[in-house]
Amino acid sequence: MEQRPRFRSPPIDDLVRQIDAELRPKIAPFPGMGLQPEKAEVAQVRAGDQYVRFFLANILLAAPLESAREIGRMPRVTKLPNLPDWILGVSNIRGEIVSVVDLRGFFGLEGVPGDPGAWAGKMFIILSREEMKVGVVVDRVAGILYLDTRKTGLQKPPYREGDPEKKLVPFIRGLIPLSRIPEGGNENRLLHLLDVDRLLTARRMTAFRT
Amino acid sequence: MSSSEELIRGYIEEVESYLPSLKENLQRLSEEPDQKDLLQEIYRMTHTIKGASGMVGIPGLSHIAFEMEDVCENCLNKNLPVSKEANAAMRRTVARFEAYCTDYLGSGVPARTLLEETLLDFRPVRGISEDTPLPRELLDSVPEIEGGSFDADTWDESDFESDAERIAPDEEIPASTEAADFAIDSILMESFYDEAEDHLQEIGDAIDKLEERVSESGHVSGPVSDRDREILGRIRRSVHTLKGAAAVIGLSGISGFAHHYEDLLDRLYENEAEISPSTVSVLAESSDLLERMVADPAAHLGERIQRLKARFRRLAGAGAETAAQPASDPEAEIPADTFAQPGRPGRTLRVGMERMDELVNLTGEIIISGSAFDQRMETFAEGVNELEIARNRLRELAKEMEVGFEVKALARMDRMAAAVRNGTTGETGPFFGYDEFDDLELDRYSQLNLIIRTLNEAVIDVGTLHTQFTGIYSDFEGGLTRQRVLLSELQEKMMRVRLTPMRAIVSRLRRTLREAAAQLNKKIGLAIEGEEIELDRGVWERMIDPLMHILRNAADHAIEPPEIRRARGKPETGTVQLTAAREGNQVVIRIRDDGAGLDYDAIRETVRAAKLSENPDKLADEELVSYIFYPGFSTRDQISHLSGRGVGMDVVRENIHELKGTIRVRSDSGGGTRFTIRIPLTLAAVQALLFTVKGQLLAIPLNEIEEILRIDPEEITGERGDVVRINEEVLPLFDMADVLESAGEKGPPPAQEQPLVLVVRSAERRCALIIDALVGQREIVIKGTGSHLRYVRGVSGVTIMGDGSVVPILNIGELIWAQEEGVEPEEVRAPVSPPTKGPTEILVVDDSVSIRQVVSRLIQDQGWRAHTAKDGIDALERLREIRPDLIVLDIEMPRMNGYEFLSAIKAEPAYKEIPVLMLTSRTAAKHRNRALSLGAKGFVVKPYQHEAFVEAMSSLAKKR
Repeated sequence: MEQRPRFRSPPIDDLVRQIDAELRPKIAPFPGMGLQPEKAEVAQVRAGDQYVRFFLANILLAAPLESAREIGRMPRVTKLPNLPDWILGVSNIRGEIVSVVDLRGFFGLEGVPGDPGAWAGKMFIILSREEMKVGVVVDRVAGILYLDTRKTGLQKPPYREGDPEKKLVPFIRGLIPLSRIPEGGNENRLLHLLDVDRLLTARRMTAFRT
Repeated sequence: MSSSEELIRGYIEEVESYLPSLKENLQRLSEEPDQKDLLQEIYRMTHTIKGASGMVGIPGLSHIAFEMEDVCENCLNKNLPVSKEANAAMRRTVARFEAYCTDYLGSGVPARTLLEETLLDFRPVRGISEDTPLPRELLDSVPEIEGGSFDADTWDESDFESDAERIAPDEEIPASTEAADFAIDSILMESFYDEAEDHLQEIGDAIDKLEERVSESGHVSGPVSDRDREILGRIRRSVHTLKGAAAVIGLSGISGFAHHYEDLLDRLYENEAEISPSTVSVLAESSDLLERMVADPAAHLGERIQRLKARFRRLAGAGAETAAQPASDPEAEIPADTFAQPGRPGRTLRVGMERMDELVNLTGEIIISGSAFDQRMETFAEGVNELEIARNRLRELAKEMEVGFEVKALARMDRMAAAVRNGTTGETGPFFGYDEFDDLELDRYSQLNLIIRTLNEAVIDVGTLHTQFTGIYSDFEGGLTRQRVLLSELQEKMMRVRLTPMRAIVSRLRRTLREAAAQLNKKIGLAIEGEEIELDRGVWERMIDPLMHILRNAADHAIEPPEIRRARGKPETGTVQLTAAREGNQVVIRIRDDGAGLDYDAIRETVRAAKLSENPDKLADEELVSYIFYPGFSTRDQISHLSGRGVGMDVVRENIHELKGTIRVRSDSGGGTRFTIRIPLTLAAVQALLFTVKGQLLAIPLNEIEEILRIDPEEITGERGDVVRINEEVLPLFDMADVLESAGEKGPPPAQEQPLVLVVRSAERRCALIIDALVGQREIVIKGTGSHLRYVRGVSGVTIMGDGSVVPILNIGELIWAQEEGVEPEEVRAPVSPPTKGPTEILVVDDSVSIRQVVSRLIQDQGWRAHTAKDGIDALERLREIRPDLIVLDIEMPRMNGYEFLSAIKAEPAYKEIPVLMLTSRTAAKHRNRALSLGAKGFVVKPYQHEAFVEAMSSLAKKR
């Protein structure tokens, strides 16, 4: 009776490897390792966690991808009364109401001009922690990268009073010089690892939940 | 032929195609009743007929097929024997299918009669007694006649006749009244299934353990060990609970069987029987049976029940006396719970809230993407119209070429030919020589002709395309309209899924109070109103604990024991009243008892003992009340079982705050206590007025709006233009644009010549709001403001419009009178904010609570805002937070009297400008002179004349 054609799909491991290979940035295998280059690369790719990289003014930040629910263009925002300036309002993200927070304003950085047109080109990342979701507006999203903080290490923020970055310090887990990251290129920048937990549990942030 | 008729015709043909094999299979089955394949095949076809009939809209046939399918299924599962009667009944049913095939498109089919016959036909097979009433509701759900192209009028008469005939004998049977209670039943059933599921799981787990023990220990049979007993105890507990729950709900079959099961477990537990692998198998089988009965109360399991019961008796070693009377066993006659109908009421599915939310959100998304599609459709329509215009233009062009150029070309050719003939063309060139000329020109002519012809064809092609597109467009439009209707229905239903009436929790509340009353030896009745009020299911779940707590408190603290009540001349039975009502976008729950009311002295003592206040004696009653929400607050010395543990009111308030609600308590005028809980509706539809302010779209629930009108600027009075006279009434006036600007800057006066004003009543107060423009009235669905902004002052939620945009729904009461809302006594406001806007604020300083209240009310009646202080010290404290326009001051007060206070503020530069109006019972001139010399601006003697007092206040307040 059974006349269904026997369809054999490739083993799942092969598929995953294939996909990994396609997605993998070109990384040179570690010198001096006795492993097959391919295996070394796979290990490297899977070792780190994924982060989304973005700019706030000209500060480069990264947030764990697992806490970023959605990344997209700035949506239409509805203003609500009795909110601080850095909460721009709420937005309809496919039927769900999500608040829109001006992250620059929250950190007290130089604000974006009040003109609504200035917001049009901005990017929007929905950060989440437990059931709380906050949409933050950032200036530019610069892609996804793998980071293994155990390998790269985390530096302490070197900022002094008056540096704009100083205001971010309470919400930063640490810094990584881009030069230490394989795909970082030769840029001489510092990547600020955003502490999403601390950001979303900050008292100012949660003041509207009680 | 309409498309639906076509569909039906096709479907009837399909049913017809099943008939031969159905008949053949039944024939063969009667010869070989054990042939499962045959039965399986019959089952499959019947199942198809059932499902498809329902889909194409022949409910009668669907139900008839269902009956047969059900019997087939039971035969397949060996619950029913494949008997001769069954076979015969099935054959008759197939004949009914045939009747549908022959008559449905002709004279029509007497669907109800056929269904009734089917039901009756299968009864003996199922072992249902003849006297069991027919499921009327099911029968009534099927039209008398299905199909046919008959004239409805001619059928009416016979309709009534046959109805009357059949209904009559059934009428005295009360079964139909049970059906009327079905709405309640279904809710009860739902919770029963939830509960049963857990218990069955527990029983199953325990039996697995028991099985393991019996098989591993290798003890073939023997007395029950302690470990076994513990497991048996678990089973017994669950079976017992299940029995009780089933009995309450009216599932007598289940409770009856569970009762026997429990008996057996009792015996095993009490060591009166041995436990052996066969015992365990009986236990396991019984639990399976219970599970089946719960899953489908309509299943006919009589035989299995009897078999198991016999085994129970054998196991229990019961003597002949029990075995001798199985016939009198009441459940033996009730093989299945009769109210369960093929519709399978009460079948529920537990789905996680978040999944529901996802569905609700997705529905919203579909609607939104649909409206995006609508816009594209408009563009499409425009395109189609333009196509038509283009075609016309093309046709004109073609015609023009035809008449103009073709004719001209021909004419010119004629001319040329003539010229050549006449030899007037001396030039050389292409026209040299007649033959050549002729060739070439004709060639050109025919090329032009060809183009014109092609052009004409293109015109026709474009025309065809246009017609085609127009057709497609109108098809799309029709489809979209249908989809829109379905979608809005879907959305509506999705919204309703989560709503549950209060009825769902009422029984638990009743039980709580009953138990509490019994433990305390008090008599308490619970009167409930508004059971039908609906709230999100999750909200009710979180409301249960607070409500139960308040009820227990009422039983324990408020309602007096019967003897005291008698002595006080009250009825012995105390009453607790629980009412739910929808007020605006809130559900208000009031709990009120006729007990002793709040014991202010006890509260005061506790406040003193816990050092919660510096001077408890100075606290007014209403201030004291707020302490009962203090964590750990209890007036009881002894911790009773019910209340007094001090865990409670603070948690109650916490829970209600989590729902964004408020709770207030006060002594009732009737002597009891009254709690008022307000829960905002987060997922509900309300009628709302949409309007714009500074280009932003906003909404206010319509029931808060009393009037919409344009006002004459001359009616705006008050120093700052903040009062308006409307219909001989003076109302505080606010410009919405200012109110929404949280910065609080008063903007320029309204630009409109005759400002548009909404008269709003919210939180028992009224005001007039200036808006820019009205947009309209609409039913909107209230959504929360998201997981981040759970609470935004002045916003009760948002709604999503068809185009996906978000519109805030304003809570005017909070937006304008926020400071006095809520129960937060510790709400701290920014110190000394300059009084830039808002109504006149007056501070009343008096040591008498009643004076404070009366004067405050008078002030509020003017549309002003009242603040109170109970002495000079308190007043100085208050001045740190507020900047009143006027202070109304008493002379005699504890701690700091009026004169001292007056001197104090006049010495303080920040305060000395505030006018002070003395309000005292001291009439002597020396008091007046002393006060005026200290800087008071006015002097009013108690008791005062309302008008004169108001006049004095308003003139002083305005001078600032």
